Amino acid sequence: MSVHIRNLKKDRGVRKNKSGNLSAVFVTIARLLFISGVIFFVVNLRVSINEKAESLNRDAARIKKKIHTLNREIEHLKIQREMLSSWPHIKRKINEFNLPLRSPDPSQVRSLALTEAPREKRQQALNVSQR
Amino acid sequence: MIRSDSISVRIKLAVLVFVISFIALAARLYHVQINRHDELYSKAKNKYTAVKTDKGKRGEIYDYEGNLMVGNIPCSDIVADPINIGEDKKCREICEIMAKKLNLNFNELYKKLSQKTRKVTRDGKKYTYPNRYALVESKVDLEIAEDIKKELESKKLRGITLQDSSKRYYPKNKLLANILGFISVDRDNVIGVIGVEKFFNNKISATSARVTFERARDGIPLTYSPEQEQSAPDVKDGLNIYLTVREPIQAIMEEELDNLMEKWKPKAAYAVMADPYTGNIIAVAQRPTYNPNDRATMMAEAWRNRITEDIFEPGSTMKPFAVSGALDEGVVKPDTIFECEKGRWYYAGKLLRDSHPYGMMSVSQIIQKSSNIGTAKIAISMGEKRLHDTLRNFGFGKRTGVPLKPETRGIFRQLKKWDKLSITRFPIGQGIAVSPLQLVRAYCILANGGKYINLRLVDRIENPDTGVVIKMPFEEGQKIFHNKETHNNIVQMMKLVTQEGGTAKEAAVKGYYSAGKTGTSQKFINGNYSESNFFATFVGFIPADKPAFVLLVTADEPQRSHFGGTVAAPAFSKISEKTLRYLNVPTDYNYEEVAKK
Repeated sequence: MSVHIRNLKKDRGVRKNKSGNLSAVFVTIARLLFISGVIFFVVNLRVSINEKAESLNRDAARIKKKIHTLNREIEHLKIQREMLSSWPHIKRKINEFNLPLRSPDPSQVRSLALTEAPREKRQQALNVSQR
Repeated sequence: MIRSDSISVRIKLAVLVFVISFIALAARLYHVQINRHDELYSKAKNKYTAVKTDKGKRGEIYDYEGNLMVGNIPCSDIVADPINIGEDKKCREICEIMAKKLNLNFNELYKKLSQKTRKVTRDGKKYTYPNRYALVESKVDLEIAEDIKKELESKKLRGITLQDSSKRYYPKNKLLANILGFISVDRDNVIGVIGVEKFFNNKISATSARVTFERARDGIPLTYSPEQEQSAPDVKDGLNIYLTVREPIQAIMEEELDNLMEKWKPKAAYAVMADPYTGNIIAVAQRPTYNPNDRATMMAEAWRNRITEDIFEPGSTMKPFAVSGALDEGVVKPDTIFECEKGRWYYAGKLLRDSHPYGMMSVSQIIQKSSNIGTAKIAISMGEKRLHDTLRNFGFGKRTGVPLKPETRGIFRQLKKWDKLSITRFPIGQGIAVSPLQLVRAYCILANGGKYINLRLVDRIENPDTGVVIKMPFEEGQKIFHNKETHNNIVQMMKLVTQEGGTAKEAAVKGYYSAGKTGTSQKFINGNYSESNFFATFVGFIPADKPAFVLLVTADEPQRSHFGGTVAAPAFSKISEKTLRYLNVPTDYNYEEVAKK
């Protein structure tokens, strides 16, 4: 009886151990898988972010280059504008096209002084105009 | 049992193989990572590391209103890689395009680009290297360079690259050339040769830095590069200089100076205009001059900055200073009468002459008619000490303070070195030599009511990186006139010069009173005063009572006539008229009434 009981106990223990080992292995594998997954995910994320960063960097570099080229063109145009707006150049063109330009004469300009008319006269003028 | 043994052996073998492989791998890793670390690391570094030189922009020079006078025009250096060019047919094709677009000799270019190797002798041994660099042309105009690039791309020709560069450019060509100066480039060093370019060379020079960066395969810098962060470049653009000169007025002056040169054919001519209250130089021009963009036609004689380096005897233009001193000291009054000795007067055994035989004249008439004898007598009544101090107070013998080098002090003897004749010769502008700028400064002092000032050529300096603007200081000196009436009296006398009966009627400007003085000085050649070589000068200010500017016009050895009133005064009038109109200066209140009379 006691042997039987012992055996039963023993059997129960063996059964218990087998299932316990399996679950432990399963848990360990699951954990490993999870950690590997996380690592895989993080690495992939990092690679993906790096890739995006590099792509953006490449775009930025391209835009920077474009800006640099445009700046140089602007600088070039600025110098050309200064050259074309200088008086020696304008004078040369006036002569070239034989433009009939002449210097302004200050006597053409007259200054008018507006004085306020007396109130009565102003009223009379208004009345006349209303009639 | 047998089977299990065999499996065990296999496993052991496999483990052994793995262990051996691992050991071999570890050994290899040790060899690569530790033993050959330096060699391989430097190889890899060379592969992904690039070095470039970042250069800032040389500062620009502007006029007072911000019109660009000196800038940097972008251009390209065309560089070839003979190895990359490829076969001979392609090389010829490239050479044809380049020679045509850049006006180069085809054969010379072909010789340069077809050379695939270069030989170097080092330590007595000859080495042959692949030739990967040949400069085709430097400083090529941006448009031409782009044109070449497009044509090469369309024909799918390789091996030619355009490198960004820039060159100093003077968009106004001859305008203000002597003041702006120019630079010379010695390899990468920029040297200011003359003018503002030289004086402010340190300030307008840009800094450059070598930048090391890690790059991707396509040459683009990587986002993260510790080396790049460590060697962050400290590249700064040069400072921008803003002059006091105003371009439109400068153009007016240069145009009229050209007319003077054409009409009177002098050896040289110069004009300077300044604001009498601030000392700002508004315009300054000289002839002969040069075009700094065209080095081939530049003559050394034209480089010299005559307004600061040249000196000349001012002649009668000195008279107002001596007379103003005498008025201020109370020695004479405008109506004090002097005997002008019918044009011939001996003093200290030497003859002094007038251009006309004048008799009794008031001080005002002495200035109006420009009598040497009258002025000498006024100076004698002043005494040597007071005359010396007066002229010194007007800045003769002192530099004007403009940022141009070299600048002369002129010739003005110390009092102890004066001889008996000095008192009669210095007030009429003989035995004393001044630079054009010194004379203009002295007239500024006279025009502004007697306040000592220094001339200013640079108004402000701007840092283009930070936007900070540093205004150049304006130093107002002491008032040199003690008598309130002195300024008014001398101005009234100088007004007479440009009116009927004066020596410079042609300096008058319709609508304004102008005050000034002519000067016709003989040149001192080989110890004697020349009878044929003269300086013809007119210097004055306008409107006389509240001057907008002081203007000096001088012709050095004019032909056909040598009088300041004939040669320089008309140019003064024309420049003044146009400038007054440009500045919108109101006409003098009484002028029309005076004209009617």
